[in-house]
Amino acid sequence: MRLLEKEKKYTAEDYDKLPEGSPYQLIEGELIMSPSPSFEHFRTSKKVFIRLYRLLEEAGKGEVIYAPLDLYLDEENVYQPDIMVVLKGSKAKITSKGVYGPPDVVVEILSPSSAYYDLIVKKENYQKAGVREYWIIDPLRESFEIYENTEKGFMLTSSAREKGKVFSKVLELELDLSEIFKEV
Amino acid sequence: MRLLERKYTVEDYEKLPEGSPYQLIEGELVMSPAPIPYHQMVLGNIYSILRRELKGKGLVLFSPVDLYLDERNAYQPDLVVLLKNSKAKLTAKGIYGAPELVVEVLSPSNAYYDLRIKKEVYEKYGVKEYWIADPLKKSLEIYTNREGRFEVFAEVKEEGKVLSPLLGIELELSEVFEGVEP
Repeated sequence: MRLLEKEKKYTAEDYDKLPEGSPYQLIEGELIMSPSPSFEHFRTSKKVFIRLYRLLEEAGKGEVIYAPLDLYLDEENVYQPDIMVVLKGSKAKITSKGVYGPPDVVVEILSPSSAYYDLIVKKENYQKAGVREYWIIDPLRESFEIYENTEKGFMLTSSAREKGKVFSKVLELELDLSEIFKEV
Repeated sequence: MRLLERKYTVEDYEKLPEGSPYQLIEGELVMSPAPIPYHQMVLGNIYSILRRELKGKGLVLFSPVDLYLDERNAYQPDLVVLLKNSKAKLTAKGIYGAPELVVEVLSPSNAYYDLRIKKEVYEKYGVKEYWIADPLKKSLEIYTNREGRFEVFAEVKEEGKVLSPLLGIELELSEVFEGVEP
C-alpha cells in the first residue's frame, strides 16, 4: 500500500525556493528538517574543521567547508554535510550557490535524531555520486570511521574508538582521536 | 568540560506510567514516537512469519514488552524470540536477560539507537542473532553473535531470500515487506 503523504516528491528547483537558512535538506526527494545540533556535535565539528583547515587549507591543498552550505548531488538530493573537503583539481565545483558534484571527502557527525540519514540514505547517495571518502564521527560513542569509495562501494578502511588514530588516504593525513573528543 | 547529565536507572524507569513511550538506553530516557505505518506493516509481517515457522519451538513477542538487560538498559525491542530453554526469563513484568533473537525495525527518528547503541548492548549481553529491517529501503540485515561481537551474516535488499542460521529458516523478502511501497 502506498501512503498518500509519500507521493509528493520535491526537486532541487523546489529546494532552491526555500528561504536562505531554512533548516532542510532534500533527501531522495523529501524535505527533511535538521534540528539545531547538540553542543557535543558542534564541538566535534569545530575541532575537526580546525584541524583540516590547518592541515589542508593553510597548506594550499584545497577548500574546507562547514555547514550549512548546499551540496547538489542530483535532482532529488541536496544536502548540507557537516564538513566537506574540495581538493585542488576536484570533480566538485564550488559556486556562490554551493558545491556541485562529489567532494573528495564528506564528514558527517551523528545526531541521534538524524543518524538514519547519515548512516543509510546519505551514505548510499554519497557512494553513488563518487565521494572518495566518507567520514562518520559519533560524538556520543566517541567513534570515528573512514569509508573509502572502492569498486565494491564504501569500505571501512580506518576506524577508532575513544582513543587512537585514524588515517585518511585521500587527504594523506592522520587524526588523533584525543584531539577531537578531548574535554577542555 | 563534562556536560551536566542526569543518568537514570531501572528503578526510575519502573516509576513511569504503563505505556510510557520511553526506553532506558545507557542511563538515558529516550522517547520513541509512534512508529510510521510501514514500520507496523513490516513488524506484523515478520511476526506472522515467525509464528508460523516457530510453532512450538519458542515464544515470539512484539513490542511493547520490557526487556531488562542491566541497571542502565531497559528496552522495548520491536520483536523478540525466546527459544525453548532460553537463558532469558519471562516474568509478569517483562523479560530479564538476553533473548536468542531480537528484531528491530528502523524508524528514521530513532534508528541511531538500533544501529549503534542498542546493537552494542545486545551483542555484549549475548543476543545470538540480531535482525535489522528497514521498511524504507526494504532491506534486511542479519547479524550473528561470535564471541560477543555481531558479524554481518547476510544483507539483502528489495528482493531475494535470507537465511537465519539460528532459527534454520529462510525468509522471503517479498513476504517481509509485503504491502510496503515507499
